[in-house]
Amino acid sequence: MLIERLASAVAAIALAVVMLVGVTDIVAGEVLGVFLAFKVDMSGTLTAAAIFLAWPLVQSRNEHINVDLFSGMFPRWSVIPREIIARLAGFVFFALIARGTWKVALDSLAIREKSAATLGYPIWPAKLACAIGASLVLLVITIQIGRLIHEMWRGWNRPI
Amino acid sequence: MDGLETGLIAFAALLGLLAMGVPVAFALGVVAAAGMYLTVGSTFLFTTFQTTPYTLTSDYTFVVVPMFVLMGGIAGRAGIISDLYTAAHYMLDRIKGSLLMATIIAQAGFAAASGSTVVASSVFTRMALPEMLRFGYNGGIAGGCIAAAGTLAGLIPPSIAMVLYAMLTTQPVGELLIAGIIPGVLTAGAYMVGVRIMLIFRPEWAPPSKMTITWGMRGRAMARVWSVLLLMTLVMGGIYAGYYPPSAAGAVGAAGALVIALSMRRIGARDIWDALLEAARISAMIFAIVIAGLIFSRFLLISGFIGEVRGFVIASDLGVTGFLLITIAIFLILGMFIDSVSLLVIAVPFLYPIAQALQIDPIWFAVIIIKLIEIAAITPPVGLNLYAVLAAANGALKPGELFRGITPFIVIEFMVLGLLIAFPALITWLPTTM
Repeated sequence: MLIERLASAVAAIALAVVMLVGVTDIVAGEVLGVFLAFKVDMSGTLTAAAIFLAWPLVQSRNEHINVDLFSGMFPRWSVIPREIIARLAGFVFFALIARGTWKVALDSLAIREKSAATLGYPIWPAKLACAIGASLVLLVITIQIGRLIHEMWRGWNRPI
Repeated sequence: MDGLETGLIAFAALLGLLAMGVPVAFALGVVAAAGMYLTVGSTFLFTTFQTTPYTLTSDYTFVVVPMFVLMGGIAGRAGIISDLYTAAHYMLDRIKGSLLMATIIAQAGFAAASGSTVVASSVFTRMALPEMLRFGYNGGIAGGCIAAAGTLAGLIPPSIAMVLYAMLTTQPVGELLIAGIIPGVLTAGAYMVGVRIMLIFRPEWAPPSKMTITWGMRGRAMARVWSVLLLMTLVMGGIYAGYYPPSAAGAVGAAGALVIALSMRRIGARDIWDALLEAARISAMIFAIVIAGLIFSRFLLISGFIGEVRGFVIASDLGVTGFLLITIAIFLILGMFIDSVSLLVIAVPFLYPIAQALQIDPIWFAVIIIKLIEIAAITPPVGLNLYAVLAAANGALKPGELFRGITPFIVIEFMVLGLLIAFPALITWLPTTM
């Protein structure tokens, strides 16, 4: 989907900024004696946004780590039901994360939260990005479950 | 229902879900959520899921994870590692089993540029295995050597496993990273000695090289390894000397790898973009497991499971030795079925509090645990590194052949583990000098 590619592109850019901020802080600090005051807040919030926004792509590619050693022990007909169970477990996990993250993001947005320590660096956009990322994972999982159910349905109705 | 029963049911449910193929993060998260809901109710459950994911991912200390992954990705794409391998091969050409030795040395160098054991194993399989097979080396030993030396990335900084351990136990990342250096170098040395001894008894496993390598070729190859040395100095030197914290070292390492790659004209915009995307994806996978693992460990704590197990271990007077033997057994058994990262996340939350109660040095315990998960990574049938080698070998190696070839390296690993247990200073000394 275009939306998960977009989200992961934002995640990649966020990581590039984290790298640049980190190295600029060290170089400017050691050479000029001037450290970037917002380094900690910016690096932390952008990394959080990058992680949450990369999850939809990881989910759509089914890249989450699993143990497939026992797959061969299950009957063939169980493949799709087991995949549906795995997605449902993922849906519950990310629904809980999305619920919590939206609460955090909306509270932050309501007060236009800024870092107390440094130059009023805005924290709410990163929290909002996290909530969007977690919600996109739910969308991806819903589509995956829909496809799996459709596949299972077609299997049942296939002529023998 | 008491804490022990609750915890055991949770572990049974977890293993059941894992066996069904549910991803580790989802299985941990769902079992923890159900357990929390049934044990203490929905308020605690929702609060935990509200605070843990964002707090963990936005913690500046753990910025190091995507930065170390990025650094490895850029270094790999720039071919910095193949320079190191070529230099080691040319320098050691006159020694018996030179390609095995070169693989071990180059993988130790790669470990200093990338923290992923699986990446190390697959990169070197593509690079070193065809070369070794071309010279008539035993395929099993060659593959085993690559898989085993891949574990060096777990010990030599920047080790992602060490950072994960720090996330799970709140131990200082910098000290943990530095503590892995001596055990990592010791392991590399033990592999080289082991290979040499093996070849005394089985010289046919590594026939002599027929290549003619001149001193000019050696000199030119050595002149190209400056990049790895510079990266090592930037990351390890910076942390050890206290110039910057590990998170900044990660950013400096990633930027350093990028500058080196650009200056050597070996990387383009597409490679940089791919490395960034890969770093985001791999970090997302790692953080999903760690978030779920932390929530699971919180459930084990509030259910009373950890308290009861800790009480049981102390009351049964197992002592440090008994506890360590049980820990080794747990990792060996679970390690046959569960990959390294998941094993770390599942086992550390309940083993670490017991180690604390037994007053075991947390840094020493961390390195022992990492050593055990690295042994698990090369133990058949699931060893993740073995599968990385098999996948990258593209049919050039058979599983049975590799499983036989890895056996001597597992024996060497246990010898090193014995040394680390017998002489804890091998681990604890270096961090005390920081």
